[in-house]
Amino acid sequence: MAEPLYRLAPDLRWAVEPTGLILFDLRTDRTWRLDYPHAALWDLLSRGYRSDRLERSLGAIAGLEVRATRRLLRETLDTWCAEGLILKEGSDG
Amino acid sequence: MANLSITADCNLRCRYCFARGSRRAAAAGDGPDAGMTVHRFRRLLDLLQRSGVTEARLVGGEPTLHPQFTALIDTVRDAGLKAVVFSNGLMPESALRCLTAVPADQVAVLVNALSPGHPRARDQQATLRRLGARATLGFNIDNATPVLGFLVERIVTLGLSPTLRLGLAHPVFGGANRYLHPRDYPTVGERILDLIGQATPAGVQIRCDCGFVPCMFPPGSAALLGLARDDLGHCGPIPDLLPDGSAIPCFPLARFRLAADDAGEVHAWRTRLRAALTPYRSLGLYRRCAACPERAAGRCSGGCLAAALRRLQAPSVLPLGDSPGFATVIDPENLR
Repeated sequence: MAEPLYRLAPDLRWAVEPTGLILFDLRTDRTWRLDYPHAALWDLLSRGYRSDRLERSLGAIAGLEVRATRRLLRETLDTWCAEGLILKEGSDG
Repeated sequence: MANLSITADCNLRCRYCFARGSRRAAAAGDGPDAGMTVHRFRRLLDLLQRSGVTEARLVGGEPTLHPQFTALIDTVRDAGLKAVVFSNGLMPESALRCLTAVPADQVAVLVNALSPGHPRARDQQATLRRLGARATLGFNIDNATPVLGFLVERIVTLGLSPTLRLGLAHPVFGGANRYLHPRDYPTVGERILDLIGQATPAGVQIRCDCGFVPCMFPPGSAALLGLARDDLGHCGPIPDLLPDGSAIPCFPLARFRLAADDAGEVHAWRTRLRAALTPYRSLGLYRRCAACPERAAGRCSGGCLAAALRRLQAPSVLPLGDSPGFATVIDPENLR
């Protein structure tokens, strides 16, 4: 089975703030604030971490066991896809 | 207030130029800044008058290079407005004659000073000498070690208006101009304090343009040395009205352009432009701005928004708008 490809939405920009990240969509002018550990996940994604390393790093940052880490990862990616922050390869946009 | 950007043409190529993008677009013939028609200019003067504005602020490029510059100045005077011209001082003789013929209380020429080593510095000084008190000297700081010592002497010896306007070279959002990096602000702040120490005995007042922040000066020093509260901490762009009638908050934030419409009033433009910038205002110049008491108290906006926006990271290093996004692979097996 082919691995789904996720990419950050091309109009997204972000800045690191003391308590997390602030995201801006330059196309729609919408903003989001990401606290940790979601901010850390965004940072890992933006650095191009592959799935195994992503999961391992997120688990260590959030202090979660494997199943909880996977659930967090899945739920977060689904939410970000729905919000248009990241795009699944083959989807519109 | 509003600036009327009457031409993108310029006879200098300053590396910090905020309007470089507009100049390039105009040169390519597809930009909105190719040159304002007299008809458009008159409509915008009407807009200023309706808005209760008493000054027509002409900017460029180099506004005196507009082919009908003298006619535009006449139009401003006919409208009963004061002409304020933002110039580099390298102007055609016809423009200089026109400006020197206008009574001094009806015109002001803000001349951006060239450093003493600049090949056109002598030409600029010749213009300043003729403008005299009509001219106010300005200087844009684009590096951490600016040479400022000559400015006060130039004002005094040439008999210029006893005010010196300092500007910081801000980055154009999505552009590539040279700018003063915010990490160098404190170093520049010390130089400015030295300059104030030199200017005060000479009777020259220092005014700061937008984007100066309190934290670039040692605590308390700015007020002690006479910098006005209004000089610091604000990023309240004065809208630039372009030849096609559209408006931008300022050239560094030219991305936030409003569609052409010269109906209504200036304050309505300003309100709409401010609203366009509002989503980004939470971002300060530095990461530490988020916890700054000056900002929390409303005494500082977090610096120039265009400079704050340079903190933004992008999915790739490609230019704004051309980014394909950064791809990463998630293995679905690991998500179950």
